Amino acid sequence: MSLLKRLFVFSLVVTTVLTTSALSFNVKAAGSYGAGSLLAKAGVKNAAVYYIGSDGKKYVFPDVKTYNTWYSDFKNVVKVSVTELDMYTDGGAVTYRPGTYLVKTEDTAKVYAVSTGGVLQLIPSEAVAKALYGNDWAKKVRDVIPGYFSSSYKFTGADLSSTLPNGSVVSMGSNRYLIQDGKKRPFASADAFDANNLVATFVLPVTDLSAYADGTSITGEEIAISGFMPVAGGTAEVGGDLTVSLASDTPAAGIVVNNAARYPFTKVNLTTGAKGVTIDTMVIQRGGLAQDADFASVDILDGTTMIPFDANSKTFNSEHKATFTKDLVIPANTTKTIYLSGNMAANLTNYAGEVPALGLASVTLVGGGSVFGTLPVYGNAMTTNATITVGLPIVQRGSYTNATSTTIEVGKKDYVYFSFQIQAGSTEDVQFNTVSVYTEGTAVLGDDVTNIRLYRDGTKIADGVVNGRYADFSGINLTIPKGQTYQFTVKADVAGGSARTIKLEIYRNTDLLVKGLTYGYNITPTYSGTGSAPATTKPVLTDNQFTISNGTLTVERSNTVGSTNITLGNSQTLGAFKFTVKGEPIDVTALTLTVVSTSATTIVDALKSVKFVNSAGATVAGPTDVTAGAFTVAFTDTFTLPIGDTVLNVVGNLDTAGAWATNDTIYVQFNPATVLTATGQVTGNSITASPSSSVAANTQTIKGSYLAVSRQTLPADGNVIPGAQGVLLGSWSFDATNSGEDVRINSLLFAASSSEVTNLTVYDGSTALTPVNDDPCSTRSSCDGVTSTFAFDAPIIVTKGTSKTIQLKGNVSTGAHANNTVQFGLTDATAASNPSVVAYGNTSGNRATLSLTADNGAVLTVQSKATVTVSTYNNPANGLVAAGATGVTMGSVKVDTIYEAANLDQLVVYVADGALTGTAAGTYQDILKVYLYDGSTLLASNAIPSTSNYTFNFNKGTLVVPKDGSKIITIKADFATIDQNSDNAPGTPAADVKLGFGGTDGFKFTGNDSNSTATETYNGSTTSAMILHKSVPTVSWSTSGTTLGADTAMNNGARDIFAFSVAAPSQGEVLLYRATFAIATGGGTDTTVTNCLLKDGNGNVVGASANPTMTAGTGFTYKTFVFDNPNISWGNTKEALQISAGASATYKLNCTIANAGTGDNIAVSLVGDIASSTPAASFGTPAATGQNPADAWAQMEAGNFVWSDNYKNRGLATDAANATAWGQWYNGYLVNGFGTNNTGTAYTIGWAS
Amino acid sequence: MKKIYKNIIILAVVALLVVAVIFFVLQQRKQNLVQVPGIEKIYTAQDFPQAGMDASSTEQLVKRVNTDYKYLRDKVDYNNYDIWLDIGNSKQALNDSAGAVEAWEYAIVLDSKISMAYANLANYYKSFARQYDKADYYYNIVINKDNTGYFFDYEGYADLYINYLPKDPYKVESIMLVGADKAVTPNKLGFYRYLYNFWQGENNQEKVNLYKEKILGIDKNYKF
Repeated sequence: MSLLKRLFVFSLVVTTVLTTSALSFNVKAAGSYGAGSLLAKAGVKNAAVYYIGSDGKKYVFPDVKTYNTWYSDFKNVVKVSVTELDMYTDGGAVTYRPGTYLVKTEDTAKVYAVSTGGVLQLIPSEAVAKALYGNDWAKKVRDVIPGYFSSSYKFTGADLSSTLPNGSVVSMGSNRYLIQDGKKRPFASADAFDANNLVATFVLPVTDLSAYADGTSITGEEIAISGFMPVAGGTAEVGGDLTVSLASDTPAAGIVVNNAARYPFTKVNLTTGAKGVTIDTMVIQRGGLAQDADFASVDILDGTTMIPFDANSKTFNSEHKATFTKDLVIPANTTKTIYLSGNMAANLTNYAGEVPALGLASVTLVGGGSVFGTLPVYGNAMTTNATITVGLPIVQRGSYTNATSTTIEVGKKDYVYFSFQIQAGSTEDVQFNTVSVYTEGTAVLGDDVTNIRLYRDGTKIADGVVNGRYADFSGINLTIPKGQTYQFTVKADVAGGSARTIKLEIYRNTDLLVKGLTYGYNITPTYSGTGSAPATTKPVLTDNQFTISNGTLTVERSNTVGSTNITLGNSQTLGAFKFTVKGEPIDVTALTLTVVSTSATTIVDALKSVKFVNSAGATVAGPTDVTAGAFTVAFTDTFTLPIGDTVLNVVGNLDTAGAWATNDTIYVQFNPATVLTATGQVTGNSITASPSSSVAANTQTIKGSYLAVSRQTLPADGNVIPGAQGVLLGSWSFDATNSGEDVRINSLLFAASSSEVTNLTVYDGSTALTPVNDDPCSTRSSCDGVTSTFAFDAPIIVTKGTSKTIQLKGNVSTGAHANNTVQFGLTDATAASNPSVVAYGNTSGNRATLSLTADNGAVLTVQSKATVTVSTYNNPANGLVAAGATGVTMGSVKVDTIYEAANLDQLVVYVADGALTGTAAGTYQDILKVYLYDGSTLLASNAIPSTSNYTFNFNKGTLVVPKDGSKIITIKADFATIDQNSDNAPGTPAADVKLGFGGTDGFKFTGNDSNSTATETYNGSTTSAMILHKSVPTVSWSTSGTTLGADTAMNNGARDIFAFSVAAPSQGEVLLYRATFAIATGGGTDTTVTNCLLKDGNGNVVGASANPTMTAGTGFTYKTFVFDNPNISWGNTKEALQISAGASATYKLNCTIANAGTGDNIAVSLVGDIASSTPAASFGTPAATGQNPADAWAQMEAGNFVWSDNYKNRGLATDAANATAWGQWYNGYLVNGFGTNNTGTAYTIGWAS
Repeated sequence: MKKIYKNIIILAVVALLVVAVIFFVLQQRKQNLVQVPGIEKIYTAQDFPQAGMDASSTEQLVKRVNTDYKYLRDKVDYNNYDIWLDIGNSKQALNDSAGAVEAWEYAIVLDSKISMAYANLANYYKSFARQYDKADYYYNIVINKDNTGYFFDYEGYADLYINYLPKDPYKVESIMLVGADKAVTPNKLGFYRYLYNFWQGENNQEKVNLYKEKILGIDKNYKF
């Protein structure tokens, strides 16, 4: 192919691809579900449910409460993929259905009614609410989520006045109406009501509809009623065009048999364009060589769900047409599929061989728009067959039917209200899948009749889901073998609805669905027998009617009034009863209470005006006095107990002049069955309450007003500081536990022995009371016998049965005198008319009886200011420290304070020489920086200047030592490094330093209250002394537990009688110059020890062989080795051994033992040094020419163990730079292992046995 | 002749290859070399605005820093562990944390056997940076390097679990017991005393008694 050709083909392909792609770019993706569909995401529990609106958008139900105003169950919710959901743009949230509830949010007191489109109309007053919605209007109010309330609802409606909002459904008599635009529109039938997905629960009964003009009748579903309309008034999809076409996969020609149900004949595609449509009517026409009678009825099935979109099947008219008037909304750019299906006649014998077809003859749209397509559009014809007999189930009333009854009590459980049987035909087994049971009675399913269940014989097979007048049972999937008859019952509980009727039935012949398992056809059962009707009549099967009888009344004690104390006086609560009513409101016309008291006679004389009072405090019955000659109170007032629970208190007056004694008890009781007369408000029947035994309220104990006052443990005797504010001067318990009524304290009178306080304030808990009193002594020459009286602006109330704490606080005068005392108490123990505590019964007004434990109060001594004590705390031991280390804890001080909290003002930190012998002088230069810590909190830090001290000043609040408490201040330091080139720039090797405050002048605290400098007590603040070295060795030696390779038993010959190990720390290397051993023999006197040498771990001799030398008077022979480093050659003498940083080396003492025998032993120890008299600066300064500094120690007899940290960083080569030639050598004093001991613990081995 | 030319070509190619390899290796080595912190700068107090000390103390430490850097310059010796350690310590004292960390980390490069720079990094991360995971990391290195039971290494580590991280008494105890285990017997007393005081503060009398016995086992005349 030539290049030109190749180019041409390429451009053609590209153009084609691009063109094809471009064509698909502008087509709007639309979902598969039309308006009115309920969708939720599949695979997610409790997924949000969306309503597909007439505009094709999806609207979310914000919560279950909103959803339940539209639907009572979720059975019509279709689970779809996210992809499907994404095909619908979000339109917002669904609002409460008009005519269901009144709405508000928790953030407003305004209550609104919901009109169509989510428009809110304010209910301006309770009067309007009552007039429109009845006295129990408040029960219809629901809280809406605030966010949705403000965004989804429209605050554009006019306030309600005398008419209900649009969308309200009312009933007057047996007729139901929809309120719309000021008119009342009657529902033509129950079907029309149900078709609009309305529920009886929300129907508002009214008595007057004169305010509304007559509107048009509602005959079927109207989309503006049944569905959520996102815009007020709702505008359905209208104006678009519709294309009707036969689906390419319309069912093929086949056979239809007798009784086949919902058999799909024709599949039709309904396609919209850029605008949606609302189909008003669709007409099915029967075609083909057949008769209308082939069909019992026809349905139009939703092509996705295969469920009739109109629950009512249609039959053909004389024109062989069946018209469906239920609106069907199809959004723009959508193809909706439907099936024209037939419910075949029960007997096709006369029609066998006919070939009916079903076609869509016409489609009428709402509003404008055209219908395109060749109509009628027919699917394939099906051939009727009368010889194939599918299983023909027969449904009849069952054997468990109960006789009609008018005495179904409220509360009756598990009663059979509907019994039916299904007999499978002889042809095939059938599968019973679903049944919808309809109620024709007036009792409301789900409300009056609950817990509706389906049983097969005695076994439950399904729970009913209430859907308006239906209880739907699905998922049964029960196979009935051919020829078999299965019995089914519908049981339920009666929860209420006195005088209402229960009448359950199967309404439409298609409400019970079975499927033949051999031929696979859905089959419409035949209904026969008692209670049945032809399929053309509804209901097709009924059972008997049952009438719910009287309501019930149960009485029990209510513990809302427990056993408490009461007092003499009016309106004392004697007890409470709970009345539980079911079925119907009950009028109580008579009730006789019995009153029981420990003071029987007193009841008659001193109990009057007994009444029943409700929770709002209103009198329900009474007041009535005790019946003369009896201990009873007979009520004859009529009061109504509503359905539900009602608690009534019994209240009476206990005469204060009666002979009641403290601790007398009283309670009320009655037998509901015998002394209570009641009538059902609906039935008008007499009702006997239960139980038939006496019900008693809780017992009350009569007490006078009583108050016990006692001083509490705190505050205890203590100290106060001048200037302290809000000081607790006293605390008392005011206890009304044994009072019959609340106690009111009008005033308190405190006795003060002396006073240095002002702003005296009484506290009731945390509440400061008024008035506030001044220093009671301020105007007096003497403070003896002084009192301070508080006559409260608002009295203290102590609730009966409780106690509370009352406190007195004040401010200590800044001029309060040291050692003076402050004391406030309640001192008068008089029981009646106590002057210290003036208290009354809050109900009776009688002076309360007082029990006061007299007490002068806590003695608080004025102290002038805080006392602070400083002491050392947990200091580490003196020791060697590595130069260059930071954050080293030198020590801590503990600061204690008494009398008041103290603020740290100032600390002076000194650096001083550690004063340890054998060390260089420590100075400020050995410390780089000092840090003061309170735990992990850095209080201050600074370098120490040449003055060797630094003054730290602190802001108030930096460190506060609590009153009578303590604080720990930790002192840390960064140590200077030791410079190899000089000894004092900055750190000095072997210098010892310590830190401290230097005495009482080194710290200053100020009292928090007194604002005065605290008195100081100094116990110590000096830290431990630390000796600076570049590296710090550790020495260990043979022990019985760790021999380090030495012999464990004595023998004659050359033996390793001792070993020692030196570890160089990770901070740096260690050099060894000399080690000394003390040797002692024991047992016999013949043992000799000669030719001792020292070996390293590799067996090299590092200390030349020689005999130990006896030192007179010591009992020891000593051997000192100056080492010979096997790794260097410098005359094999005076060569330091080197141990690398982080390493250790072990050396063995090998001596020749002779003449030893049984009972002999030998003890060896490594000798340290007590101290050194060497001047600090010298450190082995050679005393003679040619003598090296390391060797100089031997001259002082304080160089038994000589080592170096080699801070000069010198090698061991044989030149003037050798490490031994520099002043960096130290003895064994304080070396780890030796401590302050001169000699290490001896290692003793005995003769080997 | 042809053979000679051929050999020359072969040699040239080989030479090129060798040069390329050498160049590559040197480049790799160069990449592996640690950056040496600069030593030329002469510092002033203005270089340490966060010092937080009086002028005299600040000058004192600045002088020290300059002395250390001068030594390095004069000696042309970058690899003095102690000098770099001192530079780090001085810069931390002047609150130049970045400079301190740089110096300590270089000291570690010079001699990773020595624990001092690790210990100072641990203290920095604990007390100043408050990065406790890093503090714990460095303290762990320090005590793993310790072979003598150097008390302050363990005390600093335990302090992390007393005052900085949520108090973990048993972690504190385990740290100190590791140190005690490494220390020679006389030095174990310091660890036991630390733990004695610590458990007193925790009101754990059982532990207090335990360590009291251990202290008396080392020094029967110890005065509590």
